Amino acid sequence: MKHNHSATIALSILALLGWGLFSYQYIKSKSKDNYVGIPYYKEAPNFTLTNHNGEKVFLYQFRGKVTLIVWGYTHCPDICPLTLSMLRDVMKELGELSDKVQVLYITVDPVRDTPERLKGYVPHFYERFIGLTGTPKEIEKVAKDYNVFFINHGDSYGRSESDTWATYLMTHTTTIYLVDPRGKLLITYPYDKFDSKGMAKDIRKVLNQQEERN
Amino acid sequence: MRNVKKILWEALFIILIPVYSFGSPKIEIKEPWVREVPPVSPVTAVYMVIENEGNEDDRLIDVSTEAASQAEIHDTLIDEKGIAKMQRFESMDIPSGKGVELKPGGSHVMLIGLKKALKAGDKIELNLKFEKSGIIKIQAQVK
Repeated sequence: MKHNHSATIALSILALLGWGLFSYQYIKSKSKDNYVGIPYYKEAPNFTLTNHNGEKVFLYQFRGKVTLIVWGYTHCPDICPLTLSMLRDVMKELGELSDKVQVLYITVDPVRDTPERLKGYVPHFYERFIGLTGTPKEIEKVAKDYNVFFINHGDSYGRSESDTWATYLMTHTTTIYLVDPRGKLLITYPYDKFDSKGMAKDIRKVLNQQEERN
Repeated sequence: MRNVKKILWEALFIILIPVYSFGSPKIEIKEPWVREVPPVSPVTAVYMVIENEGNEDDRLIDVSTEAASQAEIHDTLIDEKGIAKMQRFESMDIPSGKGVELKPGGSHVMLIGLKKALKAGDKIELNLKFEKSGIIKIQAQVK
């Protein structure tokens, strides 16, 4: 009889644990902040830069849309084309909703990345993507505001002066920032969260929340 | 009869010596491809899987192509803060029995100074020089 009693207690505890776990997962899945990316709730610092058509643009003018801010440079062989191709896949994934998304590609190499150069590069991945540049000081300020790191890698890995190509590499932050339609810096996507389906899912969620508020 | 058996064993032994004591790498290149980049970009990357099914290690020591003025072995390293840094290597180890994958966001062959813009569907030829296996010619498709 005593034995039966213990078994009942053990079973009850197991059942409770199971229920707890289920509820936790359920609440987690319903939570508004459950994103594929990393939640980062703060006001997105405004900035004014020059777009690839040579016009001044500022972040706040994209309010009402989901803005994705990425950092890179046009002499980048691997990670930057990878990032822009992945974002093109996000746009395809979103279909009609992609009209409510704006990608801003901010160069970390303003000396070489003139508006003309960005014009030949950024829209090649997706017509509506916008490349942004500025003076080195302007770029430094925006990077600082967004906690973005970049440095001219130069010839620090053994390139000799006699090499004929006048180019250098940059080390830079690859994280993508998502600014919601109200101008909140809501989510960040470090490299290990680069997943076009997951990002598209987050963007749908953010746009739905915006509609519920309106 | 004993002698015949002895000779047979010796013959077998002699045949097997080269198989077991003189190993060699066996390099095979799979799925090589080049990333299409906008025409203004002078650089791109080549990716592939390098397999070595032989019983000896090998090393990739040089890459050359007519498509670019330089080709270098690089690795993109991304730290926990999401900062990407590229590193150049003089060579790349290809251990026996294992494959090395050159993939986006990792090891790649960087092409510097593209001689003409590469469009999806184009093919470029590369010479991969290995320390022991010598030069292996491959064709990589742009996509």
